[in-house]
Amino acid sequence: MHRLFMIKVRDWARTSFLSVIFFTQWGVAQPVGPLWADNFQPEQAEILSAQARLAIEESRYSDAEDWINQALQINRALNGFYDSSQLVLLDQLLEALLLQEKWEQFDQRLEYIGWLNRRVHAAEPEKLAMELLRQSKWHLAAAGVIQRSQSAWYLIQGKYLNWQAVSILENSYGRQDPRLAPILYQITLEHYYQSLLSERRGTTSYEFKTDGKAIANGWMSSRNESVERSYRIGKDNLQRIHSLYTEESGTANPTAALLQIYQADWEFLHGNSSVALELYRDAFYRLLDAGIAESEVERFFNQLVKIPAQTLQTDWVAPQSGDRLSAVEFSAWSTIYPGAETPETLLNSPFRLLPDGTQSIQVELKLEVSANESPGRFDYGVTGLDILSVPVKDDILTARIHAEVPLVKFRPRLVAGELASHEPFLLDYKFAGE
Amino acid sequence: MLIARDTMSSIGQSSCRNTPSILLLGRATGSLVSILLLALTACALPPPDETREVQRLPTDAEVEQYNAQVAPEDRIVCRAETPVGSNIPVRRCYRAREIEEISRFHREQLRNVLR
Repeated sequence: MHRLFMIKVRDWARTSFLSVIFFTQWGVAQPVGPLWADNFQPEQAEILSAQARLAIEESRYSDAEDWINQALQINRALNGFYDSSQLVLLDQLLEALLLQEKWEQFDQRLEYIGWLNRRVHAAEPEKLAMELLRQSKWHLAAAGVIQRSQSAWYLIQGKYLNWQAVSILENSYGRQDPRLAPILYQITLEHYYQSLLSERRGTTSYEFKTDGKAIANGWMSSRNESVERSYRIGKDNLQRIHSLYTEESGTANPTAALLQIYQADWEFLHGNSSVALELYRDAFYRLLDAGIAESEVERFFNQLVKIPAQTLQTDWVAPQSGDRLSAVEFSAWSTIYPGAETPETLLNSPFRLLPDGTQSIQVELKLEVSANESPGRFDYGVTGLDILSVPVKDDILTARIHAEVPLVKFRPRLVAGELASHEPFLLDYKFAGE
Repeated sequence: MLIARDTMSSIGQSSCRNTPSILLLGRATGSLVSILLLALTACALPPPDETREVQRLPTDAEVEQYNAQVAPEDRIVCRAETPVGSNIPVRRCYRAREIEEISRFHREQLRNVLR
C-alpha cells in the first residue's frame, strides 16, 4: 500500500514537472512565429506562399525561399509526399532560387520536380507532357541567366524535355496531330538560339555524350557542323508542322501559306536568301489563291515583322491598316545569344525575371534590299542607324548599339510579290541584363 | 574475257529469262561487256513491291527525338564523312558507345605502333 502510494506520488510529480516545462516552453516559443502545430492548417501554406510572392516582388528572395520551403513542408504533411499540389509551390521556389542564382539548389529542385512529375503523372501522359514542357521553360529561363558554357547545358536539356513531351503526346494523339505543332516550333526556336550561342564550349558534348554538366573532352564538333545540324532539324520540324496541317486538306488554304512563310523565314535566317524569296513569293500567291483579298496580302507582307516569330500563327488574321505610328520594340534576351529576342515564354510569371535596370535606347533604322555577289541571292538588312535617344552618351554604348542592333532580323518586305525596302522606322531596343 | 566467262556461268544458272541472248554476248567485244553487266544488274534487281518500306537513315530531327529518350551512351551521332579514296561525303551514324570503343581501339593501336 505504502509502495503503491509512493509510485502515485512520483508519477504525479513527474507529470506536473513535464507539464510545467511544456507550458513554459510553449509560452516562450509562442511569440516567435508559427509552430509545428500549424503544419496541419492548410491556410497556413497559402499565407506563406502569398508572403513569399510579396517578398519576391520586393526583392527579398531569401525570405521568399524560407517561406516557400515552410509552405512545402506543410503541403507534404497535409497531402503526403507524392501530391501534385507541391508542383505549384516548387515553381515558386525555383523562381526564388533562380533570382538568387543558387544554381546547386536550383538543379536539385529541378531534378526533384522531374522525379515527382514522373511518379505523380505516370498514368496521365498528357499531364506528364505538360509538366515536362514546364520544366523545359525553367531550363530556358536558366539558360538566359547563367553565364558561359553552362547556358548550353540548360538549353539542350530543356530541348530534350520538349522532345520527350512530343514523344509522349505522339503516343496519345498520334504522329499527325496538329497539337504537336507548338512544341515542334518551340524546339525549332531553341535550335535558333543554339546556333546563336556565342560560347559554344560543351555544346556537342551536352547533346551526345553526357547529361551531366562536366564537358566531355573529345566530343566537340565545329561551329559550322553544329549550326548546320540545327538548321536541318529546324527545317525538318517546320516541314513536319506544315504537313500536320496540310496533309488532309488538298485545297488551297491560308494555313499552308502561313506555315510556308515560317519555312521561308528559317531559310532567310540561315542565309539562303534565294530559297527564302521563292518560298515568300509562293506563299504570297497561295494566299491569293486561298481567297484572301490582295490588299490584305499586300498589307501582310508590308508589315515589320521580327524573325524568328515567337509564336506559330496558323489562322489568317487580317493585318491592321494604316501607317506604323509606334516604335517596334525589341528586348534582347542575353549576351550569350546575340541577336535573340527574349522568348515570349519568359515574359510571363513565374518565368519572368524582374526588371534589372537594363538600358533602353531608341534608334531610327533603315532596312534595304541589296544585291549579293552570288547569283540569285540578295541581302536585306540595316543600312542606316540613327541613334535618337540614349540614357548617357558615351563611346562604349554607341559602339554597343552599332554592334547589337543590326543583329535584329526582320522579314523581307514584298510589294506585289517583289522585294522592296522598308521606310525608316523607330526601334525601341532594350539591352540584355549583364 | 575472264569476267564475261565467269558472269556467263553464273547467268547460266540464274532464272533470268534473257539468258540465251546474254550467252551470245559472251563472245562479243569488250564494249559489250558493259551492256552485259547492265543486263545482269537489271536481272538482279528484285521486282518492284510497293508495300515494301524503303530503308533510309533517320533525319537529324528523328535522331534528336530518339536521343532525348535514351541514356547518353545509347545516343546516336550522325555526321558526314568523306571516305579515304573518295571526295563524296557519306552520312554515317554511330552510337556514342561505339564511337568510344572505336576511339579506344585506335588509341591502343597507336600506342602499340609507337612502342
